[in-house]
Amino acid sequence: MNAILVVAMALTAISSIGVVISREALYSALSLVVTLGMLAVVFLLLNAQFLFAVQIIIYAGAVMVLFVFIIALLNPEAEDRPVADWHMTIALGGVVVTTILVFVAARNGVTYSDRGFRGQLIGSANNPYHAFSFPVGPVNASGNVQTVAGQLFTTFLLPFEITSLLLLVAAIGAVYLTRRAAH
Amino acid sequence: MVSTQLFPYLLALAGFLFTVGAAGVLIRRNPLVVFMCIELMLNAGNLALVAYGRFLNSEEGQVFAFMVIVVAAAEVVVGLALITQIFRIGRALDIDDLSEMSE
Amino acid sequence: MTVGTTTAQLLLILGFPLAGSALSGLLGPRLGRRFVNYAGTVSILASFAVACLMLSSVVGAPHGHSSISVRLFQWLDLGSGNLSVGMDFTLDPLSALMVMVITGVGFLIHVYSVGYMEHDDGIARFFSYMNFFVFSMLLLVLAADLVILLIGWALVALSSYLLIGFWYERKSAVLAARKAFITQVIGDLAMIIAAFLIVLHIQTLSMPNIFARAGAFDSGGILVTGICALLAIGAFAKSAQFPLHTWLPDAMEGPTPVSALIHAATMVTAGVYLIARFHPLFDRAPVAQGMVACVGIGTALMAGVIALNQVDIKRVIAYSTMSQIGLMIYAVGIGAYAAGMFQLTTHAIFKALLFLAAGNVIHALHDEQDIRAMGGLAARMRTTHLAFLSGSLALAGIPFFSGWFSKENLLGFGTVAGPGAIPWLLYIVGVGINVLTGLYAFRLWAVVFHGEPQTARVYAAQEARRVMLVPVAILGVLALIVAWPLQFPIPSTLHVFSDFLGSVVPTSAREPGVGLAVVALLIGTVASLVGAGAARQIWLLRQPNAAELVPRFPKQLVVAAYNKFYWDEIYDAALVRPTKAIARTARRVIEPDIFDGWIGGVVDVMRGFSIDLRGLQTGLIRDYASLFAVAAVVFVVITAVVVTR
Repeated sequence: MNAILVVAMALTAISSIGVVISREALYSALSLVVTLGMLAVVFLLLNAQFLFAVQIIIYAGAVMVLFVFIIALLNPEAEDRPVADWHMTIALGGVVVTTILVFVAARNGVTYSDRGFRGQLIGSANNPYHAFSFPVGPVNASGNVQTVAGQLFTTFLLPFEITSLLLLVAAIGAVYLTRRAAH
Repeated sequence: MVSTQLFPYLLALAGFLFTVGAAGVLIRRNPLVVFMCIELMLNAGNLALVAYGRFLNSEEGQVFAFMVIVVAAAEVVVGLALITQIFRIGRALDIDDLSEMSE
Repeated sequence: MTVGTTTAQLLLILGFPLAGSALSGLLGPRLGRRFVNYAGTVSILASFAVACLMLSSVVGAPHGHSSISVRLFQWLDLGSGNLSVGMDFTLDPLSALMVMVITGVGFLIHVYSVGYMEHDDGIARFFSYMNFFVFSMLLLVLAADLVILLIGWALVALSSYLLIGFWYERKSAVLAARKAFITQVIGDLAMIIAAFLIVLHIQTLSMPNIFARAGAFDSGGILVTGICALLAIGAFAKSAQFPLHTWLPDAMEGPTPVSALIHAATMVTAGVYLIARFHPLFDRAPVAQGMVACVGIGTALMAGVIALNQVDIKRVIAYSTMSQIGLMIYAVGIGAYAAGMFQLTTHAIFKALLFLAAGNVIHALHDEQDIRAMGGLAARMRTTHLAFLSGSLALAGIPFFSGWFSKENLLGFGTVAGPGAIPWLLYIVGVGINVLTGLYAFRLWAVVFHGEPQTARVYAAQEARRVMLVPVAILGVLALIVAWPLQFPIPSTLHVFSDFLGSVVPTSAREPGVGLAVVALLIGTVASLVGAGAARQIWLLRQPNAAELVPRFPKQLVVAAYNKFYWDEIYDAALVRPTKAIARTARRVIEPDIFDGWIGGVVDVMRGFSIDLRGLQTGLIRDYASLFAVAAVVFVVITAVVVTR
């Protein structure tokens, strides 16, 4: 399990770089599809089966197909060389810095107690991961889809309804925006 | 079961994806590619959510991630419609050229 | 006198000129010359009428009750035992006398100006200023609180500035006005310091209180001597005494009525009034008194010598004023307060007379003021000539004219009272001044009115119009008779005047005995006659060039006297030039480089900063996105650091 997870994570990282680096938009789109797929695998391995399905169907499926269609429609051969100016420096610097920071922060264990957050140094006597040492509990015992749906339609009903409204609005908006205006 | 030891690496991956997406936004000039990088950033957030949900034994992370996906889909639809319109009126698909926001 | 009627009188006396000033100034331009003429003169006449009422009630008051203080309102109250200032006025013999002189002579001068200024377009402004001057002067003499007096003092200086510089298109007039004002300010400064010292010691500035508690000052002590010296400096500035005298001759740039009012009858006498009013303090500071007496006599001598050498008719009369005021200052400096005030009264009349008559001459000769261009006017301007003669006789102190009574009265005290070990030393000088006065007075008379006409204008000269002639004539008569019922120089004879003032301003000088007084009277009279006779001899009968003196005098002295002993030049070099140099440096160096540099520097820094900041707004989406990214990272790091502390 861990090995699969590690491989999936590595592939995600590599293909995400591909998204940014590819010279042609179509290649970026295809890299993104791979990234999304690998992310779905990661979700699966993290016991988020419903999300795995949704990611494949909606994200890697519908959304990316839409992307590819538009790319093909608009300028399939367009080349776009990234400009090597100060933006790139910031970007790359940001990548490196943030990754290190996040890793260090996660590894050192930002713990949470009654008095708020506390940071701990590497190798301290306390277990830096004690926040995460619960056994996998009843959350996933009865099946992921059932659990998620239960939450979705009770506790999170309002956001659910609002997002459906959002979808409606987006659809109407897209239709409106792309109609040929009568001159 | 997935080892708890991997959790920091998951967060690191989420951070990595996020910054790679941000870098793409800053570097690329084709608006479609920029859009895709934005999607990458959103997914990074999703990954973080799910990871935390898994290790804190809460399904709220997954629910939230679901909402994010819905919103991202809606946003893609509208954004691509806009880009289509830009293409239709004859402007170049280059965000440096589309920068009308100066002074 | 009841308080009610006195308050009403007070308000009317002050209110009429103020109203006249406002009406002339505000409505005059619209309502025309006739309105202004009437408004300007009637206001002073009304004030004079009320002043007569006031005088009668003061005279008729029972003995010991002739002073009344009126308070209009409280101005400042710092609590008991501390300073309290009110709008206080005092109606007593001294202030009544001054008010009569100011409004009486002032009224005649105002009537005269109707004629003198008939061709001037600024008539409304003129009467507005003149009335305002009268108001300020009245405020000064009626004040019962040192603060109010100082306000009147400063307003008088302002009015004199406005009036001297009346013809403001003339650069010389403006400079003269400025000079007068600056000199006055020096005096103001001294007086304010004196006020501070008084407050420090006895916590009050109300004059009745000050005088009642004069005993709190050690007699002859440093404090009271300093206060009196400072007050005296203020008086010198106002009365054009040495060393603050340089403004008076220049002040002749103003119209002749202005010279008559301000520089003969009223403003220059304010200094004498001040010292007389503050006599309780001066009586306790003999050193200050001595200084005052010396300065008075010295100025009188110097001014007399200069007057003898001037060729501008108004300048001669101006220096004559300086000299006569010097005598008054000398009188109050030796403690003969009533004598000084008596001389003030008669002098106001005959000096105003001389100025107005000179004005007639100037007007008739179409603004000619050089006496070398005159001559032979007696036949052509009979009334003016007679009036001028009357004034000159009074000025020189010829027997039975008003000036004789007052001047001999004054000098009589000088025989026994005076500073230092030899009190009559200054008296000797005073006698010499009598000679000088006779000399220059009759020199002027002879050169202007007698002899051959020196220029063509004289032949065309005509007597002045009635409106200018009648005041002159009235003053001419007064110059003869005004002193008759009042005072005779021999003690124990006629002393109505000194009795009248005695309740308020008791003379602190020793009176000479009858014998000594008679001798002094004779000496003084002889001196005046000698001077007058010599002048007649030199200028009437032999008629040399008017600017020449008796050839005996050394040329250096003559030239020096003609140049006013170079005081203006000295002041210019010592005071004016350094100040101007400092101002120039400030303007050229300090201000551009230092101040403007700082301010400009700040502005440049801000501008540079703004320009740099503007560079951020490129319009490129990517630039803005980069900024977001950087800012987000910074915030996250800060939050992480802060949160985990």
